[in-house]
Amino acid sequence: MKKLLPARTGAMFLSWKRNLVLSVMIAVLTLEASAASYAQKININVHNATLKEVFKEIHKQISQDFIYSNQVLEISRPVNLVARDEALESVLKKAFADQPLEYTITQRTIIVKVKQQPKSSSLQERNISGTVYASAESTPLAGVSVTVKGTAIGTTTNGDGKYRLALPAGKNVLVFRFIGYTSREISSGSSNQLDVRLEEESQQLDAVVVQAYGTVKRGALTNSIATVNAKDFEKRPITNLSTALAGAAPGIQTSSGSGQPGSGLAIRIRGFGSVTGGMDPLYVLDGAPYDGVLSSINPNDIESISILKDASASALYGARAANGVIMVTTKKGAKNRDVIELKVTTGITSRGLSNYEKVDAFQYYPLLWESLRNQTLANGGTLAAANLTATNNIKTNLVYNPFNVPDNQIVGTDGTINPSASLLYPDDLSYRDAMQRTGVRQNYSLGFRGGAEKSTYFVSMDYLDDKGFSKMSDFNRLTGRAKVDIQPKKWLKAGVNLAGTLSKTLSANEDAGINENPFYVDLLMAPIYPVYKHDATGAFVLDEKGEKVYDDGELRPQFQGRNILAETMANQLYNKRNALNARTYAEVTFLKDFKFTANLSVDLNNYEYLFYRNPEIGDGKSVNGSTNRSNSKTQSANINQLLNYNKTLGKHHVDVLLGHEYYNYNYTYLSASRSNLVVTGPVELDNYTNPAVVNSYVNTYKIDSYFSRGQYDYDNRYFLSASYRRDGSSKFSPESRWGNFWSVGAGWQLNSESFLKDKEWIDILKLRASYGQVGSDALNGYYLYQSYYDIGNNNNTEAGITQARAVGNTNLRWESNGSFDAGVDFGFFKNRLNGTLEYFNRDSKGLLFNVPLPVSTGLSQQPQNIGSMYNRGVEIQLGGDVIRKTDFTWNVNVNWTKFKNKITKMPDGQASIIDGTKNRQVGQSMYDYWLRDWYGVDPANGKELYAADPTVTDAAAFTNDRGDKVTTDANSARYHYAGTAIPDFYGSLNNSFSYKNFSLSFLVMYQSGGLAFDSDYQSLMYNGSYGRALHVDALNRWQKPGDITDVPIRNTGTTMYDSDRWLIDASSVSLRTASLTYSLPGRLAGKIGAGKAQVFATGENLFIISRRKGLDPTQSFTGVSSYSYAPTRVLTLGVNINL
Amino acid sequence: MNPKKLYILLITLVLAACSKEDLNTIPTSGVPAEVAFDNIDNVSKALNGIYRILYTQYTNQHRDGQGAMMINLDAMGEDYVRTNASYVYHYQSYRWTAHRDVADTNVNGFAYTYYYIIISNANMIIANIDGVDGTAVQKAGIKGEALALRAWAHFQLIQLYGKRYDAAVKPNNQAGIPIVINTSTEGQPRATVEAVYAQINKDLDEALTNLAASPVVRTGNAKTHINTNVVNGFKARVALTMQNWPDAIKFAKLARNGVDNLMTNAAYLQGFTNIDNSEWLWGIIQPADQVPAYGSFYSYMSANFNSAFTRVNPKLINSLLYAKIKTTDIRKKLWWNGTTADAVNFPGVLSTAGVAVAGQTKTIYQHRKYLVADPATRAGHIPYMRIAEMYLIEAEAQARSGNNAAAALALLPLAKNRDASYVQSASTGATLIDEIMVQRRIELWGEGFRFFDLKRTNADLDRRGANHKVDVANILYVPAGDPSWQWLIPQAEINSNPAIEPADQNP
Repeated sequence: MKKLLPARTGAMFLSWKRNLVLSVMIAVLTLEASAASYAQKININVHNATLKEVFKEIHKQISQDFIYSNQVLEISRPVNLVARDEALESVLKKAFADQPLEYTITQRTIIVKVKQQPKSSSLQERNISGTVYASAESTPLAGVSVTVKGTAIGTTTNGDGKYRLALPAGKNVLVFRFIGYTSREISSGSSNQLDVRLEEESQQLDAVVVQAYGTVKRGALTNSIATVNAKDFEKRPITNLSTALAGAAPGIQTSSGSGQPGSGLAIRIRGFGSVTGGMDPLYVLDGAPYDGVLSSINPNDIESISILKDASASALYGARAANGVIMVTTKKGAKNRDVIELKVTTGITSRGLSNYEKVDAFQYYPLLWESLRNQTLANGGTLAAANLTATNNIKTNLVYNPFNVPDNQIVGTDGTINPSASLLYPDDLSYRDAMQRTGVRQNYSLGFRGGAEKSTYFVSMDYLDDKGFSKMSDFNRLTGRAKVDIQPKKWLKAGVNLAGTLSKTLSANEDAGINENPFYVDLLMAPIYPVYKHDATGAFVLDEKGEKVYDDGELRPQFQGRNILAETMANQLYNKRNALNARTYAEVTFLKDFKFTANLSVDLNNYEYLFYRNPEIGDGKSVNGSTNRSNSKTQSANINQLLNYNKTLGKHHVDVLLGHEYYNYNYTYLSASRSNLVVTGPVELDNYTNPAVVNSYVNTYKIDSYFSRGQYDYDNRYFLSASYRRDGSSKFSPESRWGNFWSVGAGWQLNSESFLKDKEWIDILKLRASYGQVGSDALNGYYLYQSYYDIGNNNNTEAGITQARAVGNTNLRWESNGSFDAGVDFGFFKNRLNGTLEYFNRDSKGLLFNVPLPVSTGLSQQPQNIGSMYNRGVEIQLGGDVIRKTDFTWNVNVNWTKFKNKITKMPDGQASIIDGTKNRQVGQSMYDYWLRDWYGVDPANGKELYAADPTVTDAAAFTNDRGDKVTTDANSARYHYAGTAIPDFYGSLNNSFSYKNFSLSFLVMYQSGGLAFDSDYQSLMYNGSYGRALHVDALNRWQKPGDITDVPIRNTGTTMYDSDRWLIDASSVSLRTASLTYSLPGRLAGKIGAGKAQVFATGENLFIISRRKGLDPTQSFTGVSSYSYAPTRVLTLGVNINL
Repeated sequence: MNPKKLYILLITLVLAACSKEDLNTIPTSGVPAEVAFDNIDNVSKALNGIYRILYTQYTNQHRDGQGAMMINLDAMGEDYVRTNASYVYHYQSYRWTAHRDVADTNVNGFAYTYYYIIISNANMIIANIDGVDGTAVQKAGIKGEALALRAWAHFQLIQLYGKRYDAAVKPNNQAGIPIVINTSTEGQPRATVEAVYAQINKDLDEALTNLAASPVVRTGNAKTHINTNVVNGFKARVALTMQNWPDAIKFAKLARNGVDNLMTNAAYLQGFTNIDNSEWLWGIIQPADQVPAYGSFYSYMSANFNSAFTRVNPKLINSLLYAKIKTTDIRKKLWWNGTTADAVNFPGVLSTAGVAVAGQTKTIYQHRKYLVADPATRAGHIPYMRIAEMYLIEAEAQARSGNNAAAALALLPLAKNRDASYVQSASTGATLIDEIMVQRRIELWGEGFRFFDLKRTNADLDRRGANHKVDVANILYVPAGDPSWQWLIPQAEINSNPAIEPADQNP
């Protein structure tokens, strides 16, 4: 940071630059100064001489050296001096008598300086003024609170960052405070001008970081906590806070998430710590575990998000901390400063992922012709006969003829499309086009924050309307928050933080199986099927109202009787959520060093779901319409009592915490459905005649915990911390319910050491290491130790119960996660280069695993603690200002993470657990593919070949001319490890430029290596089915003996088996967000009465580049991607005003 | 506040917080297993639950319990014909691919899982009932049914996953299926086919002992339970499959004992959806509020429920078999002869208001055997065992034992019932056997017998020359003895059961 020193008063001002030059000169001359004898006498008699002449004379007589700068002497006054045999000191006294200069005698050298003003020389009140700048942006900061220390006098900076204050007599220390920036206390000296630069909080060692059950100065951290601040995402059109975490810090891996408005990302911190146990981090909102959905939290309310990555940081949340903890802190008020924050954004949404390249109608017909021809040929007859059969019958099989030629002339007997064929309705052959739209997104956010001496408040309201790019999908949210903190007594603080949310989501049915899933239909509907009905001429068929009639596809070979557009428009599918989050606390300080805090938090979430299916088309047709309504209520309460002891004794500082916490979660579910509509219109259950199918249940989950933490530091140099927590979870049996979790950590702030203190280029240099053991009970189900009979299985009218297929395990206990972390934090050259280098080792033991039981037991699974696994890796975060000029700064931040995941122990008698495309074995990772070994296509006959499993008797196996044992029977194929879904490394690159009032920033995310299982591509390469869309690679099919290709002969009878044929390099680069901001110059902002005014344009999910067009390899951590709501590209314009 | 008071408050708060919380929770959607075996009433509910499993849909459409198996097993024969390729339901079994796909969960994996779920539930009862308070009669009744269900489920499995039982090569040491008769979570190895049948007969015999007091004549819900007649019916089926003709004859007769009452011709055309039909020995009642959101036997198999699948894909009878039905036979009326005159008898799928839905596919040979009583719901009763089958078993066993006259006589009541002009067959040997088998195919069409019949009689699957379309059926001919008559052991079982290795897979 550049230091702005108060300028000198006096006859002239010296700029800080000159002062610097002077200091350097002095230092140099000091070394050359020669010794002088103070005993020698001086005779001198001058009139109107310069001081310089006096020095020369003295030097001549007694060889005394003077050190001065010519600039300094410029302000000297003429000297009249008479001295006879006087000592040096006496002569100097006379010579400097009424000079504005002074001298010091150091090691026989005399240094001449400008005279210091006596402190608080004035007893009069005086005015002081100046400008406050944001250090990084070099832009004036408006709204900064400026107070005079020890008084109630204060003001705030105006739009230009300028302030003016009356300083009372005897007071000259000003305090500058601004949210997001480190507060500064600066003495004004005697100057009437004081310009100040404030540092952003996150870069500062003394910035406060939210940690488990409290806060800590960043410098005192002995563990790994990454922080995301409001500033980092306030311009992004974020609906769900998880989006803000993508690329925020190394070690955080995110999936790309669904494009459904309101949905967020899945997050994994430092690898994958469990096999079938949950791997989501624990979310803690304002101090209490959060049980709502993330989309119920208004991102504009968030002040900061702390990501607790290692066990030492998260150990105090022992029970559920194994996968990291994400602590969300909402904004709060500030004393004596009232601000109104207004933000309005509006934009458009579209698909953020390119489409797979598919064949068009002209290519499609001949390909399916060939399938039919080959199938016919395989059943006997001549090639010519088969060709003719195919030509005559291809339309019968594909059912629709979108061309202007007769059914039996679409494809000739040579297998090529009729050259005179053209499409009758070329614009109506894409369900994707028909289902997509340009959505509109609007967000209005208003916040009030401020406070008086003993209380602060934050109040906000926010409205969001986000329409997705898929028709009938949107997210609508209204939130309000009120947060009040009071200090009614010196020893008592209390607060309440209440937030309410109403939201409604129209869901694109992306979780549906096939026919009702718009993303499956638009992927796989062949390009020959129209959305609307057409007559023989190709014209639209119109109904009596003149509206286009949907094609019901009753005879279409795919999606029979369905029309996704018609169904989407006529059905209703939505959910509504009401959420109430309340946090209250009271904090009592007593016996000077003690503090007792009681926190009570309540989360209420009501969820309502409705799926109405119309009686005209789709699933509702067979039952003349139906409605399914589900309601659920989640209520959780978290109560804790904390006792803090905080003591500073000289350079020793101790902070001890003792606590107890009780958590109670309750979930109530009720669902009912009925069918056979009575009258058109109402979709309520009463409006149906068939008996209702209903079910309901309640889940309860409790955790009781005792914990303690000690933190110690010495002289801001050495830091130690230790914690312990004992948790009991209702998920486990009374015998194995309680788990003990602990951590230790140490930090050494080298830059505070004397041997580095004068190394000015080192701002921060810190070593830290920690080890901790945390746990997880995050296995699906709340009654893991108990075996059950399920109710609700009546046999007609006879009461009936059946054995629950998942059996309990009374020995089941906590999954434990031993985590070691060592890191270096550094900041050099005034923090122009800063970063963190970390190594971590997460060792998971007693993995919670729903072990599949032998199918022949009739049971499905049993939760067990099986085996061990580690995640080891390195994280690097490197940032800094590449360019830091007054008008232009360029800041770069790079994150890079590499880790290795490895299973180190499996349960006795179960060396391998196969699950889908993965096989868990010792020495393998969680996400190593276990797939049939695809060998290729037999050039002789076009059949698909697999490497044969040598242990299986297989009539179809043979040794080919290359000497490999291969088989055409996929069931006898050899399975092998075919690579991993885990990337070699991943990370992000964050760039921001600011030029004068403009700033531009963008976030690029990347991953390199790893393999994706492209199941959509597999679907598009399906050989067998008429009416299913095909990838352009299908054109490379085997056609005649000798063809060398990887695409087998076309036919109609093949299943597309999973094999490593469908794996593809998962490397990808995506531009997640980019934004351009223009900040109104303070003067202009001031004119509209604003402290701060910004206009910005932001783009979200701008592009993703992967190895195959249409593939998003980051869709899931398992590497298996499939049809779903693709990420949404959002382009917005916004205005941000602080009043 | 007085500081002293404050500290007292604090201490109270801390102490209050430290009192141990109750961390024992119980779900509301179930009861602990101990409760299920707490008293005889609850055990009877655990038994009722097994019958519910017979019509429960497991995780996905076309996995609708026994109804799905009935369709799959007919689809794998030659007498059930699909109109076109529309819809995936039971399609891959029709094409003979699903049962040979180890990863398939709709047919191959479903059948295996479903029958073992029944076995596991039965085992819980068999293992625990002796320790429950109750009268000997109550306990015997429940245990007898559980034993019979366990035997029946093993019998279904062995016919699918084992190589056929061959009485000529006893003992049948070829690999069968795991015999599961305890409640352990440990996997069992594949037992021999011989051992599996021995266990099946042992369980059935024990069931007969226990069910000795069970009522014979029943209606409604009672008919969903297994009684002595049904167990005798199982014994007859097992004996037929084991080519044990004397037992087949004996038990087929016993199965009819006291209820020997064939339905009227009028009842024959009423849709096979009434459990109170005099001819039904065993079936289930699926009420309208116990249907899955999609699917159910009737939504795939009925002629009149308005499912999209049924709308465009009516199920047909093999045209060659149809040709063999005498015009005087009431059963000829179950399938459309293609004439306009007959079309009125085949309105096809109906709207909830009972009106024929426009635009549906109509095809010659489409059936009207299964009809939902109320076109607004996919619910209905499903027959699992009828008296007609017992006549057919008896006749076939007699014929295969060489007792031509006895065979013809055994067939007569049924054949005469269906066709008043029928006269007792004078055929002998293979001709007679063939005549009986044709009767069987016609009578039991759509009831899930054809695959088992082909396999146990070691016959070819021959769909050639009939109304099967090659591109839909995929497979037109499979010779007897081909490895593909064995279903493959699901990969999930090989993966999860340490007692079964990849090398233990069927060829």
